[in-house]
Amino acid sequence: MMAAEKTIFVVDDDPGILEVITIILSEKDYNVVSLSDGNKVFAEIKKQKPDLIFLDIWISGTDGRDITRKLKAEDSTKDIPIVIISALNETEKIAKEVGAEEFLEKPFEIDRLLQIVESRI
Amino acid sequence: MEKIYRAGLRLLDQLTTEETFERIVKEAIKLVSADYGSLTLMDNDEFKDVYSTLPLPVKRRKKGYTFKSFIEQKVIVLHNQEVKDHRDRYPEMAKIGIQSVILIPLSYRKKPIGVLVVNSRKKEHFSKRERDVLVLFGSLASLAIRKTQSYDETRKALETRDLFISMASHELRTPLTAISGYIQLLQSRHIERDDTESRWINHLAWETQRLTNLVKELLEVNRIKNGNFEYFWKEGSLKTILERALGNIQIRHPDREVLLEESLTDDQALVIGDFDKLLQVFNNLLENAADFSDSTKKIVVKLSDRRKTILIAVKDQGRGIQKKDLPHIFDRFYRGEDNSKEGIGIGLFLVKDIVTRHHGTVRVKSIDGKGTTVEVILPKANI
Repeated sequence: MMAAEKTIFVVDDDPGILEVITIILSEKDYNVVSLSDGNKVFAEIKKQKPDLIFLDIWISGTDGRDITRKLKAEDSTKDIPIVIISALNETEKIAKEVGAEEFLEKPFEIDRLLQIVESRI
Repeated sequence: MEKIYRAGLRLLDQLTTEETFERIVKEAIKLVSADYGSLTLMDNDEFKDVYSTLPLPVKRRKKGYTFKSFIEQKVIVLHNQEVKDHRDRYPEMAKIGIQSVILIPLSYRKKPIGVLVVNSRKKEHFSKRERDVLVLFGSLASLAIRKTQSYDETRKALETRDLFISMASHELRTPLTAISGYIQLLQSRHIERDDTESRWINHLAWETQRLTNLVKELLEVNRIKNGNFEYFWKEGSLKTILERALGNIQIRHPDREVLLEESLTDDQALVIGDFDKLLQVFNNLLENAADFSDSTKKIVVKLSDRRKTILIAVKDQGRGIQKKDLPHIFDRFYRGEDNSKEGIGIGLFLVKDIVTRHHGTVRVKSIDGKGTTVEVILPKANI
């Protein structure tokens, strides 16, 4: 299957991090939707269902943990793999607690990020 | 005298702040066979009872006897008329029949800290002897109060420090993520080019990695302290872990000779542990061996079967550890006095913590100028 058919949401309020991840994934021909506002995830999902979501925890105005819990509670979105990306100490623990499939600690290696994408899509 | 000594000793028990206050008052009442007591302390400009056995609340006024005793640091004994005045102000006092009151000022290093109040239903209570007993007990109580307050202050300061480290590392890691991301993108565009810019980019990448490692080290310390260092236990071969650690050290030090000496079967090398944490142990030990020895000297890792345990020795031919440093090398943030290497001094602290959690032991043998051997002993899985 062509990668171009796959859509990935990247949610992070740091513009640099958002841009870097967007470039990395776009270069691999993924369709990337970058969001700096966590609240927009739900509206965006209605327009197009992503194949994977990279989600920061501390996003201004909202919390990645709440977003994950909501997505995992909905039948229509519970199967979308979620990767928690955070600079918090306990990214791995938090990811497990909220039911996210993967975690990525900041700062990350591009190779590790791509490895996660390939294993989940 | 012995009674005071015993009462004083009871204040030294491991008590919380509140328990200490309670015990001071109760021991004081017991020492002079009185009926009630209170402890009033000055805390942030507020003069109030921190513990009282009186069945009614007493407001400590700045014109009252208690405050007078505090300010003038004078023992005050109230009888008859004074108590009667007092009773007029507090009719409830009359109900419980208080006839005598003694106020013992408390101080620490000449600074007033509060007043111990003891009340009695006996008339003319608190003789010279009882007064001396309570003054002496008061100085022991002052020490106990300072001890518990210092403990609380220290605990709060440590909590603030840990929170600060945690927040600081989050705040540092966020920009580092963007920096390292852009650098990695630049690197991927300059791959296999051998120009000045590529060299600069590689320098940037390397320095960013150093910074990231330092921030991570800071975090790990905090994590261990807060018990957030999660372990994922499973059975695995130490040989695999050591091979991986040796691979890592060869990447960082390609010209270094590192030998693995082992004759164990895979079955004999099985341990129950957290693979990543054990890998970190041997990464740290090998990194130390490489950092503290000449690059022409070889490093030997020896794996030996000891029936119920496995011994892993990491041996270098470096300058060794100075005798005065040896007792401290496993302490957190300890760095040898003439250690010029980077790091914040938690490598061996982590090693010890991880090995201990695997029910293992670590010991170090070092001869100044000749080299160091670190031995890790881990229990086998299949016994």
